[in-house]
Amino acid sequence: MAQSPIADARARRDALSLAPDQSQATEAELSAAEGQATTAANDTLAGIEHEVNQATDALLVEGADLRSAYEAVAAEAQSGRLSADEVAARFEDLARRRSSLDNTLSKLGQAIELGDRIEADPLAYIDDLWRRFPQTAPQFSF
Amino acid sequence: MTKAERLRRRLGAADQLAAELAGLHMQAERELFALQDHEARKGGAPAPVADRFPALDR
Repeated sequence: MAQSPIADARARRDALSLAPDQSQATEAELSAAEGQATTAANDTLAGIEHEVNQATDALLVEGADLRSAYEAVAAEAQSGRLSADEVAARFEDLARRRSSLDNTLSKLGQAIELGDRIEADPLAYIDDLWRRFPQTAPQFSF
Repeated sequence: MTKAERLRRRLGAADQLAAELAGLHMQAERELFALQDHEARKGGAPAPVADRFPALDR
């Protein structure tokens, strides 16, 4: 038994001289591993999709709230109802929130890029994970 | 359209909002500097904000 990524297992199998029935059995193992990889890739993609959708909803709410708050701060600064120190304190709070929003936006962009990679080649993505974390790779009889 | 493309399109609305917020941030910053400048002049402070940040002077 050997635990390895699919690409390695296929290379090992191709180097063997197998009888037709043995070849068929190893192909079935490789197909099963590919099925396992596809399921794992789809699960990962679904997780990314869920996370990005939820976070985007939250970002849009936070962004709309920030827009109102910025407009209010600018109006208060113009009206002179608040001191510069009070306006500065509110401004700093808004700047922190905006920075957090920008960071989240950037992370979501990265998550989408990962989704792109997975969709482009789901097997390669999971096989690469199996290569980096061999203890999670599938078992093969050859 | 792939899932990633759909997600990217959806995130585009948040991107636009973030760009709008960047503009509002600069506007609020200008208002704040103007107010600080005004208070500094009232208080007789030696270095008004407009002198320190000439690009922001309006």
